[in-house]
Amino acid sequence: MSNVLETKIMGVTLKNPVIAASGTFGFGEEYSEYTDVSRLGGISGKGLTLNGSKGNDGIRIYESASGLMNSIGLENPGVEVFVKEKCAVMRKMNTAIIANLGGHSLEDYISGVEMLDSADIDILELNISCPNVKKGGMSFGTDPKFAGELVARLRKLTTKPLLVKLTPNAPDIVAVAKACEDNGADGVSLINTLLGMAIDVKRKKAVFNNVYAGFSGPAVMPVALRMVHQVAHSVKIPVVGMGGITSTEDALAFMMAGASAIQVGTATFYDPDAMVKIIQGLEDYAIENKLNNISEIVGIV
Amino acid sequence: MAVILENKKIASGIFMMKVQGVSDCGKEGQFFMLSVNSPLSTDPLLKRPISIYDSEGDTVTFVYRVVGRGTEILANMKEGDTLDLLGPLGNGFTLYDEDVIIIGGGIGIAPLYKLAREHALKFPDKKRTVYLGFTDETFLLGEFSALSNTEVVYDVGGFVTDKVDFSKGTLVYTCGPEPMMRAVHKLSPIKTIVSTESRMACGVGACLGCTIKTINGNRRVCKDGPVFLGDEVFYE
Ligand SMILES: Cc1cc2nc3c(=O)[nH]c(=O)nc-3n(C[C@H](O)[C@H](O)[C@H](O)COP(=O)(O)OP(=O)(O)OC[C@H]3O[C@@H](n4cnc5c(N)ncnc54)[C@H](O)[C@@H]3O)c2cc1C
Ligand SMILES: Cc1cc2nc3c(=O)[nH]c(=O)nc-3n(C[C@H](O)[C@H](O)[C@H](O)COP(=O)(O)O)c2cc1C
Ligand code: FES
Repeated sequence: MSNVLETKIMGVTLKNPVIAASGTFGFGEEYSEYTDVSRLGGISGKGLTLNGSKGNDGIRIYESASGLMNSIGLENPGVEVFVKEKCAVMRKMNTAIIANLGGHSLEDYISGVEMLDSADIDILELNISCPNVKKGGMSFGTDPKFAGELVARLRKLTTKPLLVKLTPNAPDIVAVAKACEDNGADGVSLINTLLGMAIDVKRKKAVFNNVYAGFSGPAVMPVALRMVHQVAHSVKIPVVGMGGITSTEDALAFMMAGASAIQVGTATFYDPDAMVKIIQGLEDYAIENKLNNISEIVGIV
Repeated sequence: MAVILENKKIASGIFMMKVQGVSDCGKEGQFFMLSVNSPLSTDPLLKRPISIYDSEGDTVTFVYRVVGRGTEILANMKEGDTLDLLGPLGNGFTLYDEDVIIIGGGIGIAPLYKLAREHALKFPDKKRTVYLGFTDETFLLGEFSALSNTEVVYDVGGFVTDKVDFSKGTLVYTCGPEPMMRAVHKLSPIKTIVSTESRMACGVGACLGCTIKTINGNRRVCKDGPVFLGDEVFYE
C-alpha cells in the first residue's frame, strides 16, 4: 500500500485519516473478529469517566429514518481499568490509540487527564459534550467560557496531543472551538450526537428514561458537514470531522469541508467493514486524481 | 452474503426463511443480525437480530414474526434474493446429559427447536418434555413432535406455564415474552436457563446498547447472552 493516505495531525502520524468513533467500537476487541482493525487510522475508545459508570436504565437504542438514537449513558469501566488493561490490548491492534475522556466535574477531568498522561496512548480526546449524563458534561461544551477554562486547566497537565470533542448542541459551536484553540487544544473533533427524542405513542410515554437521547447516523450528516465547514474556516488547529459518514463520498465531503481526518460511528453497526471500504475508496480516489497525499483536498470547498 | 432458498408463511404473520451460503451456521441459541436494507440504502439502518431456528452445514433457517418494518421487508424477500447477515452471534445454549423441560412462548419457540433437535441427537435416551404456548394459532407443533423421545404439550390462549410438570426433568430451558420467562423461573424448582431479548445496534458487544442488569452487574445480551441462568437475570 502506498502512503497517499498517511495523515499527520497534532504531531501524530496516522496510517490514514479514518478513525473509529468513540462509543461505537468498544476498545477495538469486539470488531477485530469482523473487520481488519489494523487497517484503521485509529480507534477512539469507549468514552471513559474517572470511576466508570453503569450507564442508563431503560431502552438504550432506537432507530429513526436513516438515524439512530442512543442513551447508553457512558457505561464504561473507568480510567484505571483502561490504563491497566485496555491500553495494552489496543496497542496490539497496530493502529493509533485515542483515549476518550468525559467527566462529571472539573476534578474528575483533572484526575482522569493525570492518569492518562502516563498511559500508552497517542491522542487524548476530551469529550466535553455527552448529552446523556445529567451532571456536568453538557455545560462545559455548550459555553465557550467554561470550555476555554477547562481546556486551559487540562492543557497544563499533559503533553499528549489534546483533541477536544465538540457538541452540536452548543448555541455557538464556532465560539466554543475558538475558545478551545485559544486555550491550548491541539485539535477539535465534531460532531458528537445531536439531542433527539422519541415517543412511544401506544404507551403515551417518552421511549427513553432520560426523555432525550443522542442522535447520530446518516440523517445528521448535512448538519455535521455544515458545522465542520464553519469550524474549519474559523480555527487553525486540525479538525476531525464526523456525523453520519457511511461512504467514501461522505468522507471526501468532510475533508473538502476542512476535516484533516474523519471518524465513523453508526455506519459500522450496519456494515462492520464500512471503514475499511472508505479507506480503500480514499486511496483509489487519491490515485485516480493524482494526489501526492489525500491532505491536498482538505478545505478546498 | 447468503442466498434465500425458501421464505414461506407457516402461520398468520409467521414466516420461515431458509438461507444458504453461511460460512458458520452456528449452534443452538445463537442468532444472526439480518440486514433489511437494500445495499445502497441506509433505511432501515440497523440489522435485525433473529435466532437460529435450525442450521446445518452452510444453511440456516429462521422463523420470525412480522412486527414492524424490518420483519415486513424480510417477509417480502423472495427465493433467490441475497441476504446480508452477520453471525453467528452470542453464546448459545449448553446441552446437558439430563432429562430436560423446554418451555416456549409465542415466537420465542423459534430458537428452542434446534436446541431440542441437537439434544435428541446427542442424548437420544434422555427425555425431552416440550411445552409450547400460543396466543391464537399454533405453529411448528409437527416439527417438535417428530423428534425422538420428545413429548409435546401445548396451550392456545392461556398460560402454558400452568401445564408444566417440573418433575419431568432436571433442567429447564425457556424462551418467550419476559413475563412468561419470569413466571417460569419463579415456578421452577430446578435450574432454569433463559434466552433474553434486547434492542441491538452492533450485535457484537461494542456499543453497549443491549445491556441488561443481572446479579453479576451489566451484561450484553448480544455477546454475554442471549442465554443466561434464570437466577442471574430474574434476581429482584
Ligand atoms: C437475540 C434475539 C433473537 C431474536 N430472535 C427472533 C426470532 O427468532 N424470531 C423473531 O420473530 N424475532 C426474534 N427476535 C426479535 C426481533 O429481533 C424483532 O422482532 C425485530 O428486530 C423487529 O424488527 P422490525 O423492524 O420488524 O420492528 P420495528 O419495531 O420496526 O423495529 C424497530 C427497531 O427496534 C428493534 N426491535 C423491535 N422489537 C424488538 C425486539 N422484540 N427485540 C429486539 N429488538 C427489537 C428492531 O431490531 C429495530 O432496530 C429476536 C431478538 C433478539 C434480541
Ligand atoms: C452508541 C453510541 C455511543 C456513543 N458513545 C460516545 C462516547 O462514549 N463518547 C463520545 O465522545 N461520543 C460517543 N458517541 C458519539 C460518536 O462518537 C459520534 O460523535 C456520533 O455518533 C456521530 O458520528 P456517526 O454519525 O458516524 O455515528 C456515541 C455514539 C453512539 C451511536
Ligand atoms: S448490540 Fe451492541 S453491545 Fe450488544
